[in-house]
Amino acid sequence: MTVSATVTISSVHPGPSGGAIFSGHDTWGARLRFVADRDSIFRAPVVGEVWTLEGESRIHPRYGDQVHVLRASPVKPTGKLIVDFLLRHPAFDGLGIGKAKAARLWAEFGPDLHGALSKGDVGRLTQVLPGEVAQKLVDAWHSVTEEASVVSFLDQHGFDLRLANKVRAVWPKNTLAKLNDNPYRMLAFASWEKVDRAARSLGVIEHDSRRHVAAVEAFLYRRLDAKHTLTPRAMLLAGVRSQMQTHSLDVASAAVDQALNEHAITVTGGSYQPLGAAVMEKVVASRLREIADGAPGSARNLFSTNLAAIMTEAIADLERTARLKLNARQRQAVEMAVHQPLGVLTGGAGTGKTAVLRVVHRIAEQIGVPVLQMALSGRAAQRMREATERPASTIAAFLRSVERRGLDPESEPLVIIDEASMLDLPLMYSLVRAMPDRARLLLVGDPYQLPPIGFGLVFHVLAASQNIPRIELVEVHRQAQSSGIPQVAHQIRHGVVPPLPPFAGVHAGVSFIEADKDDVIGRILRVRSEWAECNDVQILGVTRHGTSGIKNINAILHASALSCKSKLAGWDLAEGDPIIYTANDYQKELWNGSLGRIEKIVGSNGRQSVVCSLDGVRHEIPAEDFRRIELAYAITVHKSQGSQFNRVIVPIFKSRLLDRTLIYTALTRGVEQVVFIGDRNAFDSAVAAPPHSHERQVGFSI
Amino acid sequence: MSTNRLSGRERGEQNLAEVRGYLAGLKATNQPLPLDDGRPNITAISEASGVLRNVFYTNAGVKRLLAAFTGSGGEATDPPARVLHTERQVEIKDRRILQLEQQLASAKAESEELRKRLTAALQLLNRYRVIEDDVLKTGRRVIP
Repeated sequence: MTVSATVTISSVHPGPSGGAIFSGHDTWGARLRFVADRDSIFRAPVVGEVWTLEGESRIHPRYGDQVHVLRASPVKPTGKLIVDFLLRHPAFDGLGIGKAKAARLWAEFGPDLHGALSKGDVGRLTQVLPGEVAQKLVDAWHSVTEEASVVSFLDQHGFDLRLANKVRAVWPKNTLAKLNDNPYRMLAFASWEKVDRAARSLGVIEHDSRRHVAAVEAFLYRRLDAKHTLTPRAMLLAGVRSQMQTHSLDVASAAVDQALNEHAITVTGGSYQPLGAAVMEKVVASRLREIADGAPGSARNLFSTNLAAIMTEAIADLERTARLKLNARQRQAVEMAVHQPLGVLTGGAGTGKTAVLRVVHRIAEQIGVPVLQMALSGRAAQRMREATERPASTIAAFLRSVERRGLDPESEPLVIIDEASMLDLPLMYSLVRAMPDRARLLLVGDPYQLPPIGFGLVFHVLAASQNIPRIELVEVHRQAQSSGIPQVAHQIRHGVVPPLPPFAGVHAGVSFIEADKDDVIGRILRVRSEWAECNDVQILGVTRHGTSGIKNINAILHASALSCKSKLAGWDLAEGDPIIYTANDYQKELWNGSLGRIEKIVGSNGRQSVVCSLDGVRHEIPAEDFRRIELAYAITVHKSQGSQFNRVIVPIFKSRLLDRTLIYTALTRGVEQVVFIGDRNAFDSAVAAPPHSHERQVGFSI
Repeated sequence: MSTNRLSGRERGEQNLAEVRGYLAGLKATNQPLPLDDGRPNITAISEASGVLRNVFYTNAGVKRLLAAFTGSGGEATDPPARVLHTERQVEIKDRRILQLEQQLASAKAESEELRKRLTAALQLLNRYRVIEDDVLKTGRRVIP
């Protein structure tokens, strides 16, 4: 049964990850109990507030009748509900308004009390309250009731109510007035279509300058969603015309001029950029230039004393202990890291980037230079830690620690970023801003891998720049070469379609099984059964959805592995399932992309938790975090970046995501054996065509 | 709340009544007035009576009451020469105390103002942080 009610909240139990269980009284004094999950309520209510709610009434065996909330929003209290509101809402604590004073206010003003408070009529309120208290009461009233007005605005125009908190945080004063003044302010959070509809319904006319500017910005944001930070003029004009549904080139051109005049957009080399992305690119470029040039007067030449001797000794030491020989490029890379405040080290899998880092660590320790090494994903940081036998963190953890504790601004650490090709513009911007002025920076990565998931492109540009010290390692080490993977990778990175043999069981190297979409799951199962004795097998999918998407593969493999295993009630997870964590949890040190396996499901129905091993560490995941776990029989190639697996299966079919860099990234995740299954033509064309990252248009240059 | 709404005159009368009550209490329990160097120790009296220190310098009624009490009660027994000397000292001391109290009041007002500004600055900082986070996530401009 559907229920709608307006109630004054009397008790609240907020949920640990959003949502709440709460009670309230309606105008007739009847008590109702509500259960809201985080999707149905944008925040937990506060005792004393008035909310309108809609939901379904259900009988709980223990708590009886309760309403499962579908829609909920706070409203301004009216009528005598105001008295309760003033008495119970924490915003009015400390004003000395007790029962007697609230009753006197009601007796004096009656239903007009709402008007007196909303109009801020301090003069009238002083009939009952001292002037100072009346002013404070009006301020508190405006602060708590404006949220209700904002929620009502969002609701009326079809925006997500959960935006209310963000909208008020960004415009804390006169929020509603600001939204009405220029409804296109909402473009910061919502789509052009939704915002334009709201604005037009509020009376904004077709050729209003606010609409013109917003249409230009909206098109550049659309480009940003497609990862481009730069848009040529012709494309922008066409986009604006389509956005505004006008054929007039003059109108579009005038709109661009207005956007420029308002500094909503900016011009870079004759093309256009949204302001935020342009600022970030400029900050990153200028900061990197500063690092490369060295701040005037700083003690840049940290490695000067007996440098040659220390370097020679460190290289000899590594060669002796690790039983390897650094090639000429690797030695040059060590020199670059030691001499240059900013350096870029590139190279594919097996080219010995880690060996270079190990030598750099030894030298830095000799000289007493602190090294901060990090990578984007938890797995990559873990690999870095293991390979260099030195601490390494995720970039997110580093940024968080800087925010909390700060870094000594006078310190001159060497910052090493591994898998730097994964860093998008916003992350690079956050990183360079967090680094101390005199830090040195070494970026390590493979520009032939996938471009970052977010917008912008930094590492790929740096790796191709003549103005930055950079070394590319090309020689594949014998040990890595034996698998045959580096040779195939080399061909793919240069757009050469490699001949691949058919699959022949457990065997080092790369093979291809041609298969239809309908047959792909059967083929995957067969390969897995042939590899039954092998450990560390991973399926890497191009897409999430579709027959060969990871969701379908995971569902089928989960179902086929279920049999007698203990299952997690209400979730498609069972003991033994491989899993991936999909959020950053700083307290548990779990990262988006942490991989592992469910070891045990503990507890009984309703109070279950999952004991699992993630990134080699045992964790107990409580019920409220189950939504952060996904099956990982198959993961996307994007998520696999920074990780490597002994054996990899890659289903390949035509997709707009499929390109050379994706195939190259999937291939280089494998250490011993890689099997592609699917459409050979799709594979060949993707390898031969220029990669998508080449099409990404950005304003960043150095 | 009620104290906030008293007029200056009402407050003065209330202070006078409180000091009167305090002195009557001393008399009734046969306790001496706290003295410092032969003169009423205003700090101690202020603490014991719950009446602010400055009242003893600014409220004429309170000053008269205190003078009458020390005169009639005979608690001040120092020889006249010493009293003269002490009165001068006390005057200097009182002036100094008044000066310090004024400085304190001004510092308090200043600190309150600074606290207000700090709160506003922190709110602004928080706002910019939210805006920056949003720009970093979406690349979109926030119109001020």
